[in-house]
Amino acid sequence: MKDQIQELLALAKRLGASYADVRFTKQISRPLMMRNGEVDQFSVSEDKGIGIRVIVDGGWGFASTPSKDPKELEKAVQRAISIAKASASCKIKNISLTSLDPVEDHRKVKVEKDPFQVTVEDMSQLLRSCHDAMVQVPEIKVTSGMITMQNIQKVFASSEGSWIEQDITRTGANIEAYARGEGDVQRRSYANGRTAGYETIEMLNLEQRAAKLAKEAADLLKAPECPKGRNTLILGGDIAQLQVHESCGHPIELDRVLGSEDTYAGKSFLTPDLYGKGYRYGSNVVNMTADATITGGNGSFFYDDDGVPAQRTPIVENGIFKNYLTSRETAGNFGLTSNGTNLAMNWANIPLIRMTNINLEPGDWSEEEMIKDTKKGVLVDTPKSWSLDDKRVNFHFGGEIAYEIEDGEIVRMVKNPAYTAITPEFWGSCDAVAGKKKGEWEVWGNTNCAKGEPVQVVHPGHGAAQVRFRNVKVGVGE
Amino acid sequence: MIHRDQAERILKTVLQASTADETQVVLQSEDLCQTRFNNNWIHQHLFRETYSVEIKVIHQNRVGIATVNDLDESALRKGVADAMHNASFVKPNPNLVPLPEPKPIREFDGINQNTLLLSDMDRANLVASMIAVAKENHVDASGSFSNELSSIAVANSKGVMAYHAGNNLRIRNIMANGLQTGYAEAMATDVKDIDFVAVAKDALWKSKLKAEESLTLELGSYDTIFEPQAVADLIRFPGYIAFQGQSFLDGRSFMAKTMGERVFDEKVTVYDDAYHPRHIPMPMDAEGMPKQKVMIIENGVAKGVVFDHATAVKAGKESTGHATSGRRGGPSPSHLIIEPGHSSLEEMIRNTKRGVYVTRFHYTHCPEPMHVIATGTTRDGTFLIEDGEIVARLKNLRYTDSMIRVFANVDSLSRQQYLVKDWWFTFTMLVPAMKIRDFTFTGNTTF
Repeated sequence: MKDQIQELLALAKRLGASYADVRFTKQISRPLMMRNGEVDQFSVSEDKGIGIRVIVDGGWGFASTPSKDPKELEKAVQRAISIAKASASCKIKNISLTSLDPVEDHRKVKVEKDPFQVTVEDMSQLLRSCHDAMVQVPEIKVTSGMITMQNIQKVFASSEGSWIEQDITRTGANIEAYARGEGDVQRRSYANGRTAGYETIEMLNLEQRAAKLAKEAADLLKAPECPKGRNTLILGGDIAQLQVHESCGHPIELDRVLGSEDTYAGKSFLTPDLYGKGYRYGSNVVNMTADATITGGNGSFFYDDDGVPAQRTPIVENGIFKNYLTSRETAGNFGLTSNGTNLAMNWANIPLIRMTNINLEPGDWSEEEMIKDTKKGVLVDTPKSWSLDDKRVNFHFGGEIAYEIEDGEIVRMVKNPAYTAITPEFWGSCDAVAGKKKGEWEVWGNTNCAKGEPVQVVHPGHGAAQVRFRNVKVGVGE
Repeated sequence: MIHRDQAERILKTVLQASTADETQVVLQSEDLCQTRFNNNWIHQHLFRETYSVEIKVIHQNRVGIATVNDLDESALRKGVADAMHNASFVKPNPNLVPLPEPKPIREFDGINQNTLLLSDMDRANLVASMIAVAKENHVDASGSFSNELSSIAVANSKGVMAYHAGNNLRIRNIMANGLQTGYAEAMATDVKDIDFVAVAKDALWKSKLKAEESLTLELGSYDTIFEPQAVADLIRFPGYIAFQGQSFLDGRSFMAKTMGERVFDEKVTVYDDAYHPRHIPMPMDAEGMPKQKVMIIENGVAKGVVFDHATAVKAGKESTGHATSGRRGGPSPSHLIIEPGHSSLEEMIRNTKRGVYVTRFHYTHCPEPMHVIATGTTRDGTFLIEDGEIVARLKNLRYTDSMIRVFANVDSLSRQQYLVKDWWFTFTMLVPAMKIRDFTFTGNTTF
């Protein structure tokens, strides 16, 4: 393969490319899905191909093909060149990439238990146990569960001399219970994943969670609506991670900041004029990082699709905005080098700036202390809906479950919680972040981050724990 | 793209290789050209060739699936073996619905030659023509131009053998006049049916309209006029949540308990028709079943939902040709249409004492699916109407409202329908512009 890829790079150079890279990926996925205690689908999918990216006359071109035929691969190079020339006919500046030393490397995610070697009986037995635990609760009418595993073998080669091979395994699971009552349906769910093997599934305690989720879903049918109005809000780790994803992770993507995602995903309130000016993103207790180097983090890898090594970058320090996520194309706008976040969903797509593991760093509190310290408030967990404007300023999140807090104690469960706020005001009102106790702070696996046209779905991670905000508008319709 | 002869060879190879009780194979291919631009230049530009073969076997009441994107005979045979292997591990399901028997399909050629012949430079030139409008008017153009050529071929061991190929294109454009933006889009099968400069000018006038300042609207309920792409985002929620057979059977759709009852305003008629002459036509679904026209809401009354084969059998009905492929599968509307009314955008504005005009939405979501309570923000042109005229630009607004209530409060629909997609790209729909009484805005944003 090495010779073939080097020939494609050489062809691109001969045809006028000032820069070229070739990415080959082979991705094998094996999801097992269960619905109402029966295996709904067990499948294996294999997807492989090559993407070729070139710069010609200062314009980008990209073409991809699943074909192995050398003639088709050459045609893909020629098509990428043709596209780049068309791009160059409508440019205002030449594309330039920040400098990068070429690297030759071969890296593999450490896997303790190969998920592809786990028998279907074992996996379906686990999901069936979850179903059995859920349907002990009479109100549970629909259950579902899924175990996913993915192995990605990726080769990146560039005309600058890089040759990088990566082998990344990602494993995850989700379970859902739907309770149905008179005119109402309530769902409780749990989902998580890591770049690791089947040991991930064994860590998730799915059976224990299933019984708890089912009871909660049934109890929600009888629970009163979440009270509306301004209130103190505590987010559980499961919804805090998505809050970080949506209101911090997306606004710091520099390609989006510069306008390249405007039509679909939108722009960002963290405009270039705020960079390096000490802009206050949140309160002093808010510290965020982008860290692609966390062992097992769902958004971890070794090199991005520019060939830049994975890094840990401070994003918000003591509430002050510090850094964007960057690529080789965008970092130069600020006189920086790339912090290594340019990623494509697969061989067929161009890399875009994507979240790695974007983390709300652990704080000095515990959840118990936070509740005790709250006179009146609502604790919300597990995202049910999320919606943000096109600059990530105004947002609205719905949760699956909530509890009212009075005088430092949880007093009742309430349903259909939602809250809405303006991002910098919201994070500015944050006065407590948990993580002090073992198990409170964890890196959650997000399996559904969409961006780009055509849409590319990737799998970031988010370290988070319970976090408290003051004076937030709570309740659907508020 | 994979043509019929090659597709049928691949399908037959798979069927012949299978020893399962039943086998289904779905071959999908796509050649996609996408040109994206912002700040008056092309910043992303690609050609993407993809194909996949999804092999589903049913053997002794067990289902196994394998998907490959390698078309070599050996890879296809391995795919069949993998599917059989997967099935062998699955507990038999006595309730499994067998694969469907073949049904006649109204075949047609969906490929438009004008669109097929567009070159990379042609696409760049069309985008450049829009950028020229921006430059002449001292604004910045951004947007996305996609040109998609795709095929689907489906066969099963009961004799289904169906193929369809088609192409379409879509242009979307934002004009940025400083911080004020305007948006327009167009979609068609024939490139000659899209006036790219007209699309640019449509986005341009909205970016220039009342651009001096943006007011903050007092929150509450307002008579609200929606451009078609905003209507698409409103009907999307009932579309994927309530108008399909699986959620209907599960009781997760409000239609489950309201069939035959009035649920929307009597002016609202919604149906799914893949043969509508103004839609992107499609004769079949991912099970090779013919597309049927399905009346969903007729004059405000709940009439039906769409089914794939399995949900249809469970509901005691016939498939309506709305199976999807992929990981989750299941039934889904594919060609939603809202019947037009008797008004126009201009008349709606003229007949509004005080109200809001919405160009499009961004990132809508549904916190309460059972009551279809949805939320989202406006973008790229939100305006205040007073005494029949647009009098000011508004800062973007968040709405939170039940779509059941919204469609029960329809004041008027435009005579003209438009082919649009919702923000999420879930559906391509043919919908009119719409005016709603008392639409609820629950939040302001800062721009």
